[in-house]
Amino acid sequence: LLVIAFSMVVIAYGMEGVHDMFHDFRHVIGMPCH
Amino acid sequence: MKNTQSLKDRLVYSAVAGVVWGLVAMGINNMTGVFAFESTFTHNLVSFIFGGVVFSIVSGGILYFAGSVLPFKGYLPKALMVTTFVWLLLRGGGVLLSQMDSHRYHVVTPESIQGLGLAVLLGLFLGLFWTLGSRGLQGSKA
Repeated sequence: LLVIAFSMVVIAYGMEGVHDMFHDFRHVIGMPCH
Repeated sequence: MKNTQSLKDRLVYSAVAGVVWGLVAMGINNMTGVFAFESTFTHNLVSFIFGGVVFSIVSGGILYFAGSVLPFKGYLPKALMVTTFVWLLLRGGGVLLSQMDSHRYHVVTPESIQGLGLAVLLGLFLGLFWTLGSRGLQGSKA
């Protein structure tokens, strides 16, 4: 759970390979993105 | 309401809810057109399912540990509260990041409204799967 919670923050903010992977997902769920 | 099932069981229900939510979120955005997809369908299929599972498992974990102190009865309203809270927390962090680097993190209001709606939808799925999971296990033990 702790590892996944950290992953969630990385995904939500695109804290960059993960950045490009979740770009569309981040926009769709309404997180600020470039 | 007492958690009679293990955390492991609950996280499995949460993961299933996350898969469904990820696919539904993709479909809803396709209908609303709030964000024009930039990646391929296959790429998004993977990222939305994975992202959905991650968000749902975190929400499920919070629900498991904080469920007894939330001011509601039943999994559904509690799940709605948790998923909305998680989204607002992340969105709040996003606002701070946006103030620090507005080019890198800029806010799009229609996406935010859709995101909040999807967070509520995740709460619905999470509450539903937890409820169904509880009934399923009780039924199999009877």
